Amino acid sequence: MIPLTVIGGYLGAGKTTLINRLLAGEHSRHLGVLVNDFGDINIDVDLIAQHDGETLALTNGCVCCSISDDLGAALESMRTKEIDHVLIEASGVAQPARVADYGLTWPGFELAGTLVLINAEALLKQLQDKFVGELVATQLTQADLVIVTRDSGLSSAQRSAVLDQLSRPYTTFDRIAHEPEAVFNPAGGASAVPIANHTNQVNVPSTFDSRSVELPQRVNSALIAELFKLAPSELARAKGWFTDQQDSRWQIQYAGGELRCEADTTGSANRIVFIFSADRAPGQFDRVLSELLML
Amino acid sequence: MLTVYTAKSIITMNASQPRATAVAVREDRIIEVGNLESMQPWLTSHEHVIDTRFADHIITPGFIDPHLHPTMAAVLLPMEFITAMEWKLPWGTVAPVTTEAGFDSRLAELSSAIPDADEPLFIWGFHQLWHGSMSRKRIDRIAAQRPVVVWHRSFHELYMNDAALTWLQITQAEAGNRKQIDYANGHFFENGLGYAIGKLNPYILSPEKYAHGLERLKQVVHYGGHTTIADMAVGIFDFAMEWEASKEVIDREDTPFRVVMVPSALALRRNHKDDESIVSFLQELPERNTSRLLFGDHVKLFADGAFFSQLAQVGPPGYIDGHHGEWLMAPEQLEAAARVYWNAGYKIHLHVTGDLGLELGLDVLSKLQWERPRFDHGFTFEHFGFSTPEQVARIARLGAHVSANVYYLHELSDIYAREGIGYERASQMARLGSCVAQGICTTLHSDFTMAPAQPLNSAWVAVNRINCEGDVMCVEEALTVEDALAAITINAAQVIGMADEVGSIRAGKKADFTILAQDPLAIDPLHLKDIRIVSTVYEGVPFPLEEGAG
Ligand SMILES: [Zn+2]
Repeated sequence: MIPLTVIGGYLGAGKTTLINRLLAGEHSRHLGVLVNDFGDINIDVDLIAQHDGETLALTNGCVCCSISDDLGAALESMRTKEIDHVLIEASGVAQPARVADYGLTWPGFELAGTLVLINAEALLKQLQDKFVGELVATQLTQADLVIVTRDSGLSSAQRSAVLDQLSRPYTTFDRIAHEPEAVFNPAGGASAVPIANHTNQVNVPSTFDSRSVELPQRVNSALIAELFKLAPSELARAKGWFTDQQDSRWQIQYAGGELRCEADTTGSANRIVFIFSADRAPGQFDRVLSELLML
Repeated sequence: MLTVYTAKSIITMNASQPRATAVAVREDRIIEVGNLESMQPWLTSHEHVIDTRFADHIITPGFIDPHLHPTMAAVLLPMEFITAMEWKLPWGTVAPVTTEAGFDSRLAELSSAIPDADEPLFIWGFHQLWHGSMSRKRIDRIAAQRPVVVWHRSFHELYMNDAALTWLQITQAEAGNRKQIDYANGHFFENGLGYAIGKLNPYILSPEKYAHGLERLKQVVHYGGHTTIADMAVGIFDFAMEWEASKEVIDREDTPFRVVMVPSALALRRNHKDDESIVSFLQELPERNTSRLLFGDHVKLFADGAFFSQLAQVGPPGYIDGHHGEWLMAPEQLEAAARVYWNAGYKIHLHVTGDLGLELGLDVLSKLQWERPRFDHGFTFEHFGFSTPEQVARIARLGAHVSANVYYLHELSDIYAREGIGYERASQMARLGSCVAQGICTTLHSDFTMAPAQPLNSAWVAVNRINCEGDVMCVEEALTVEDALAAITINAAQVIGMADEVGSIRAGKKADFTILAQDPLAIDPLHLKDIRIVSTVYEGVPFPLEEGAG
């Protein structure tokens, strides 16, 4: 039986960004990813082993395949490949629970769970929309785990207004990017990632004492420099490794308001760990950080 | 050489000369319409024959169905029907079967009629309300050796016998213990149905089966009295395959009709990266045109879900049970796609079923009109299940057309009143009288296989608004017989961009006629659907129908 995770959520919730991350990320799994539109998949050409119209095979053993209106046929094609886990990108207008039924119906698969992504900037407006309000509300109730995206620019009041809409366990995009285990076991994800089970008096998780951020394969070193120029006073220390656009490897350390950068010889990690001394309101720093992650 | 057809009366659908008694034809075109005296100037200067074969009959413009699906029909029509309702088909009328025992004996009869004991048998039309509960064992008792697949009337579930499971290599190990598959009973539904169809597809969609289905569709279209139809979603299964099969089966001298081909933009997205590249593809299509297969400047888009499955998007107060319909395209995506086709000059046919779907379509059309006004834009709302009076006024203000599946009212208004959205809104589905009153170009379609491909039957529903229980639903929205005739002729031609060529009988148009045994404007409108269709004439060539057609 191949475990199957459904990735649902309305347009603009960040499903494709998550999928791009997972396809290229480090998780030692051979993923079979079924997407609605190939055009949005953005994979480093170095990672592509083979591309034959409907299917994209990556050098890390992952396979990406277009659903083309026939999810059954796409699933069937996964059964003949060496795949550890299948991710299905539900269409923006689908009810994730209906898609999840494939994990219970289609021979050869078992349902791992359902993720529903929400765009924190747009959610409240979407819920009021006369055409999609009911749909977005329904999608939210069908999640084993909600992933909140694009939340870094929100004030804490805006953030709690968004979180008040959630009746299911949730986590943030950054955490999932850091600890992708929850993707493979959304229902039991609480043990893998600290997931807030939202009640009205829960702490708003706008800040973390320590926050580890997985970077894209290549990053713009100028953006890294800009990021630390904007570092808030609460940022006590940071350490990280990245590859720049010329393919050079760097290690960075931040302490006492100063950034040190040197050539890295230790390995292949693309990650920065930030340690904050206190709670703080999100600001410019977070916006540059999310820009860095979206690239 | 001219041929002059005389008739008891000719209903021209040309307001300047509504009636005539003779029509002169040269090759595929009408030369003159009037009477034998008025057309003397032509007759004295050209060799001609007077053809009186229709002298006792009524000639109307050839009927047009502006929205059906030859592909779906090609899949359904090779199956055997065992149905609770009577189905009139060109190769015979399917008598209603309304009992469990009746179903079984009909199944046994159909099975024993096929000589090869291993040939699969497909049945369509089972419904538990009449035919009892179905199971693998029940079919096995009737036909054990032959693979048998029994489809539910709704197409949303099927049953198979042992031999069919073996034939398709569906094993207990693989399909036992799965949700939506009841292996013990051979019952497949929802996603389980998708699994079964995946196994059946190589057989159902094999070129021979598909061509056989299209041949039957040709008969059905002729039988309904059509001379023009529109395939309102070319590419549903596979654009290239459908085009090849159409060339093979439809584009032949023995086909008594032409097909206006309207590609589905949604289907084309499967192998085009965006709508701009679909536009480039569409622009090349008219070069392929043959005399019977015509691409033009029309494209199909989709808003909300299937009307028959209660997936239409309904505005407040919604469905009685509180469920919601579905979107076939996200509203933003629909708007973005519509903008591309609108700006490229295409005539957009938008599938809308519920009033909320219609609302979205109207909002999109309003924006497009604001951004880039167009006049003769041909934007058409297809199906038009639920609507409000205010929306009808808005359709008129925005200059759009309505192409309605009025059969919804006949088959579903009773059950939707009780178990869908209540009597008020159910009785007012297909709000067509208001459309005509607002001056909207209004036409009727079958969406075959959703409704019988019989324009006179659609006209009968639109005029009488009688549902399957015999109740009259919202007589205020009834069409007059004249309006209903316009809907299946000249208005249909307008909606598919053929009004210069077909849809009425006047000099210069194609010589396409439908010949009726009775005058639809003279008889009791309650008998509209029973008028016998004697023949059609396609581009000047008569294609007679057997007695009993219509
Ligand atoms: Zn249709």
